[in-house]
Order: sequence, then C-alpha cells, then structure tokens
Amino acid sequence: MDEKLSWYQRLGRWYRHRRETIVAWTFLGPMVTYYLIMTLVPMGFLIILSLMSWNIISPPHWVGLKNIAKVFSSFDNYFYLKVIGRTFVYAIAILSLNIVGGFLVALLMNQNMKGKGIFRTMWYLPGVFSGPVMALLLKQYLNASSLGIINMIIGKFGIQPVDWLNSTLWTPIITVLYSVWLGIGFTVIFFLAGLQSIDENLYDAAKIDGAGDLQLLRYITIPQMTPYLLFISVTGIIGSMQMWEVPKLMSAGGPNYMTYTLVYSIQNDSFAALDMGMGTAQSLVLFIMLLAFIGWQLNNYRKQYNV
Amino acid sequence: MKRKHLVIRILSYSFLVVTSFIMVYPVLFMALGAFTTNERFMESFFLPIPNTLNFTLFKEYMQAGLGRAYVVTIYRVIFSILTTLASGLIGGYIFSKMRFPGKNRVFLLFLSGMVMPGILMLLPMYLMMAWFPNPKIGETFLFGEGPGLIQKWPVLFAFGWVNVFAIFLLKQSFDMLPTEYEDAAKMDGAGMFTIIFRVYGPLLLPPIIVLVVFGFLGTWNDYLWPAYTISGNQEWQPIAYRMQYIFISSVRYTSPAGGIQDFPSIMVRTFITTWPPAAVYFLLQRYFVQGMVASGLKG
Repeated sequence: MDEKLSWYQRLGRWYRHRRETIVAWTFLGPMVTYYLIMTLVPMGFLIILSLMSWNIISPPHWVGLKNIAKVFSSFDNYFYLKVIGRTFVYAIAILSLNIVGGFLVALLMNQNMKGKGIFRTMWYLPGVFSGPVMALLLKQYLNASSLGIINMIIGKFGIQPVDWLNSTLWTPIITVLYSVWLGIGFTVIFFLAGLQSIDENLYDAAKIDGAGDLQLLRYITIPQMTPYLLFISVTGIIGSMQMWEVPKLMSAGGPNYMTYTLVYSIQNDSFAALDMGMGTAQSLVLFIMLLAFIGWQLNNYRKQYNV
Repeated sequence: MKRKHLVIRILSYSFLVVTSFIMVYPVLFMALGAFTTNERFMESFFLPIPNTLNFTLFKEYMQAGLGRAYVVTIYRVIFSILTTLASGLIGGYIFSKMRFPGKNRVFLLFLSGMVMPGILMLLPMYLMMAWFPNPKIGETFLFGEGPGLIQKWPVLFAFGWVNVFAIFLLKQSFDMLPTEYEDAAKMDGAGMFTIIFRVYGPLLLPPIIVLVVFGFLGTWNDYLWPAYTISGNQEWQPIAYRMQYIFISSVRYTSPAGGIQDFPSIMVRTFITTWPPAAVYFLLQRYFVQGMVASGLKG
C-alpha cells in the first residue's frame, strides 16, 4: 500500500478520518468564540477597571488597589462595609423566610388534597412577572398619602396613613417581603417536585416500625430533601445578594441608607456618580464573596452532567 | 385519630386558601383596577370591582406608545427564541452525539458561565457596547470615545446568541433518544441539519416548549439592560421599561380632600405589561414545572 497520494486525496482521507471532530468544531468554534468574548472579556474589563479611576468622560488613570481598599476602609464611617453587611443581612432574612415558608407550604400541598394544582398556580403567579414592574406597582400601593391603596384600606378601619417607604420600621420589612413574595413560588414548586420524588416505601417501612408524623419528617423527609434544600440555599443566596429592585425603584436606598444594598450601590456609583472604578471594585468584591457558592453550584452541575 | 386528621386537613386547607389569596391579591387588585373607572375605584373597599369593563384607558395607552413597545418586545422575544433554539439544538446535539477532543473542557467552560451572577456583567457589557464602533456616527475603531451603540437598537440584540441553559437541557434530552434514529436517517443520506431538525426535532418538543416559555418570559421581563442602554431612545424601549414613562394626564382624579391620584392608569400600564407572561403561564403551566425542576437538580 505505498501508492502516492495527491494532497487533496490526503485531505479527503484526513477529513473522513476525523469527520466528527471537524464537524463538531466547525459549529462549536463560533459558539465558543462568541462565548469567550461575552464572558472572559467582560471579566477582564471588570478586573482592569477596578484598578483604575475613571469617570467615562476624562481618560482613565491607574490607581492600583485603591478602589478595593476603599471598599474595606473606614471611608465615610465604614460606608461600603456597612453596605455589604446590610446586603448580607437582607439576603439571610429573605432566604430563611423563603426556605422555611416554602418548605412548610410544599409539605402542606404535598398532602393528598383536592385543588392542589390551583394552590400551586396561585403561589407561583408573582414569579412570572418582571420584578421591577412589580416593584413599581407596589410602590403605588404603598403611597404615603391617605389615597395610597394600602393606606386607603387600613383607613377604613380607622388607622392613620403610614409613610411606608420612609419608615425605618416598614421599609426593611417591605424589602424582605417583596423579595420573598416574588421568589417563594419557585421554592415551593421545586420542593414539591422533591417531595414527590421520595420513595413511598421509606414511609411505609418507618410506619411499620411505629414512627409518628414528626419522626417521619425528621428522619425521612428532611434527609431525603437535603439536596433540594442545599440547592435552594445556594442559588437563593446568590440571587438575594443581588437584590436591587426595592432600593432602586421604591425607596431610593432610604430612609437613612437602610435599603442601600450592594448591587444598588454598584449601579449608583457607576451610572449616577460615574465612578467606574468603584462600581467594578464592588462587583469584584461581590463576586469573591459569592465564589464559594458559585463553586459549589458548578461542582453540582459537573456531577449532574458527568463532566 | 380520625378526628385529628380531619382537623389537620381543615387547618391546612384554610391556611392554603388564605395564603394563596394573599399571594395573588396585589396582582388581582391590579388586573381588576385596570378596568375600573376612577370614581368607582375610589369607592371600592377591598378589591375594585368594575361595573362595566372599561377598555378606554387600555386603548389610549396602547396608542400613546405602549403599542410600539409591544412591537419592540416581540422583536426581542422572536430573536431570543430563535437564537435559543438554534444554539441549543446544535450545541446539544454536538455534545450528546458526537465525540471529539476538547469536549469536556468546552462543556465545563459553558457550565462556568451558567453559574456566573448576571449582574457582574452589566457594567463591562455596557462599556463593550459603548466601545463598539458605530459607523453611522462616524466611529470606525474599537474603543472610540463616542457613545458607540448605546441608545441604539442593536444593544437589544447584542447578547444571548448562545444560550447555555438550552444547550444543557437539550443535551440531556438528546442523551435519552437512541442513536438508531440517526443511523437510519444517515442510511438515507440525511445531513446533520436534517438529523437535528427533522429527525430529532419533533421528538424533542417538550424541552423545546420549555425553552420557548422561559425565553419568552426572560426577554419580556428584562428591565435592567434596557434601563441603562436604551433609556434615551423611546422608539426602541421594550415594554417592561417603557411602561413607567407613559402618562395620559387628562384622566387624573381629584379627590374631595384635594389629593390627586390616578391608580387605574398605573394599573392599566402594569396590566398591559404583565398579561402576556400571565397568559403564557396559565396556558403552559405543565412545561413551567418541568423547566424549573430541570434548571435545578434531577430528582
């Protein structure tokens, strides 16, 4: 077999030999290129810009780690550290209400009852809408005057109108409740799917051993639901650390910076104060804070897809 | 024992009825308020009950610019669904049925993008759009000083050409389909696209509907990106952003106490913005649940 092959014959043989690789990369190549440009390049910008001082109008200049140091410094009475701490407190409050409430409701709905589908539909309904649009609507409900809708309703019971979005008591509560209201439907549906996947035999076996309802919950339901609980916790913390709708669209960060969250601060610093350096520095800090959770989730997907 | 169960049952029913109502109350209030006249709205107590369906405001707002916002949003939705399905079907097929070097690395790269918090990309992407040369205003180089594409319609279509979630979802669906179909089609001389779109495509209808539903909702509800990139160009603002800036001042209501409020018109604007997602949700609920569970773990 030592025939002389011309170059195109060799090309043809090479193509037949590696057909799959060539076809796959022909289509995957542009996708990967686009994807790298749209994820790696922005990440690079994020890192470079966080080392610069730039207000978009005049040319940027290098300041090194000054921006990131400012986030952790005593600047303006620990302003940025307070922003981060506040965001974290909100995230924990939102997440715990979400998980405890969502689990309870999913347990109730998982009973063999009529109208389960209707309840599920109603619980998830707020989740299909745009968060910002709902925030704008709720802002109207919470109008401070006696003609505000909630004030109008409580006024019929003789309660004085409340300045909801300017009250140090109510604004944080509204912030938390708004996020829970939008997000809890997903938790409920997700937990319901988890509860339905638990093997009935486990319960039957435990019942034969004389386990009570609470013991069933403690020793079978909760351990079996652990992956679901973990998933909701991790995605929930990533999601609620990014909360910005209430401060941006309802309370403007007030009263007295009580709802001034990290992502609102990022948007404010970069687009209102035109301080790109601070905006990107805070984005990086957020990314680093979430890194452990992002890593967990990535690992989780890796296991799921066997990569 | 029996009695205890009955009590638990009644308690959980009443709890669910009350909480479900609380969950939908703000939305229900909005949907009813949208069709109520101002005078009747002010008389209402717990929910505004329209005496006649008042569509005048709805029509006025559609003519005042929300109609145009619908058109823009629908362009975006179509774009998003087409790119989602194209990248998802081709990518899913390649990852599921083909063997080639570098497969796992690319897969991992795509996965890592999927877990990235989206908000981080807002600023860099804004800047990328600003640096993109726009020949129409005389920019010919990258990193120009001008506004680039900001406030121009292409920003609405710049991102989302490769939908990673679609690739993963469809890869899993492709995995479940036997390769025999493909082999038979290949015998008949079918090419890759015929195999993907005509042989496997019809068998993949449920995950495709899931992707269409989620693509529709994600695009329809998108607010943040338009808020920063197209805030000055009314002609190209999608509905979720546009709805807050249209006012018809003639319909305001003056209360006897002197305050001026116009809740029905706010509710009409919200209703115009939110009824399509709600309709999709009510019609295709089954696929919703499937998609949400698939986006998380497999049970």
